[in-house]
Amino acid sequence: MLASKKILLLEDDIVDVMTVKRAIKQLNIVNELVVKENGEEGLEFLRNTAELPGLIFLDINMPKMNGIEFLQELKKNEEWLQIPIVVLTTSKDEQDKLHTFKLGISGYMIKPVSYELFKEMVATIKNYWNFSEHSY
Amino acid sequence: LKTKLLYIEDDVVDVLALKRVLKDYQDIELAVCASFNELQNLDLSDYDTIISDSNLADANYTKLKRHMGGLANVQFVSGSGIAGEPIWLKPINKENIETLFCFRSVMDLDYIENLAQGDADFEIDMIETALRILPERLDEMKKSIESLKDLKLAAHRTKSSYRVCGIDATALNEVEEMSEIDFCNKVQLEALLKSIYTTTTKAISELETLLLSRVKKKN
Repeated sequence: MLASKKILLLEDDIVDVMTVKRAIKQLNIVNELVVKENGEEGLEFLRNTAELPGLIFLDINMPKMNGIEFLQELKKNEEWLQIPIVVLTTSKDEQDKLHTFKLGISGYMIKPVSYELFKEMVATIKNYWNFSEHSY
Repeated sequence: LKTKLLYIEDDVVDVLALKRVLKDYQDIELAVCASFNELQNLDLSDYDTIISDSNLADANYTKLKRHMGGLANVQFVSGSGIAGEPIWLKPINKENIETLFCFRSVMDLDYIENLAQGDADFEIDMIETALRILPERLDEMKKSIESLKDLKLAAHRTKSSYRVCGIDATALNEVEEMSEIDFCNKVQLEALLKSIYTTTTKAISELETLLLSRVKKKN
């Protein structure tokens, strides 16, 4: 993933924000992490940012606009569809999982995510970006 | 989370009887010590709870009590009881075991420690945050008791902190149950909330102790 690309984290729980920040630091990821507390703030960020983030970590249960509603909004914008999205949730509900995959997510992880799993997921996303960059 | 239980007992039949009772408690790890001589070589701080016979072949109640003096998690048992002493009567039953759970730690900081990789500042930061968040979450749940939707959301928001801080699996199950509840029986909800409240309060108290020890260690 290009170092210039931001990572967007949509999460309203401070404990989870801290764990993701920590995991990113442990993995020596230099990309800037932008944290927004709900789907509404996330969309606002996407509308106003000069460059789209290279990855979105998305919680499902958030106030105002939840993760599912955010994904539904995202689907309406062609440009936003290329952003890999990894759901980070405490929900073990198969319906949630199925629903979010249908809405085009790239990964689904149950919180708190083990460091190893997080590492694997970030490596996969990095590969995706390396592949995309070489495709052009 | 396994509760480490030490049983000091020189009677094999009593040991077998306790093992039978403990069959239903998968999360209790039992160690047996059969003499005072053996006991003297043990580090008692390794155990969450200790049950001791009041009379061993090589030590009487006074000697045993003196040896373990000051430990709050010791329970003596006897076949006949000792007047004026809070001693259980054998055989040890399930009800006795249930009361032991109050000695049990409800925290497991493995996840945080794994993420911290020795970074004391991070651990302290996480514990301080949990200490700030947990009372807020409890308060949210208490305030939401009249609205099932809000209550579920508040419980859902609590789950992650519970998991990150490694709070007792039974309590986590209760929080999960509350976050997925689809009926509105206030009596049951209140009972569930009361149980979550008890565990979380204990967790907060343990976190406070852990924070002090981490800060002390760092300095």
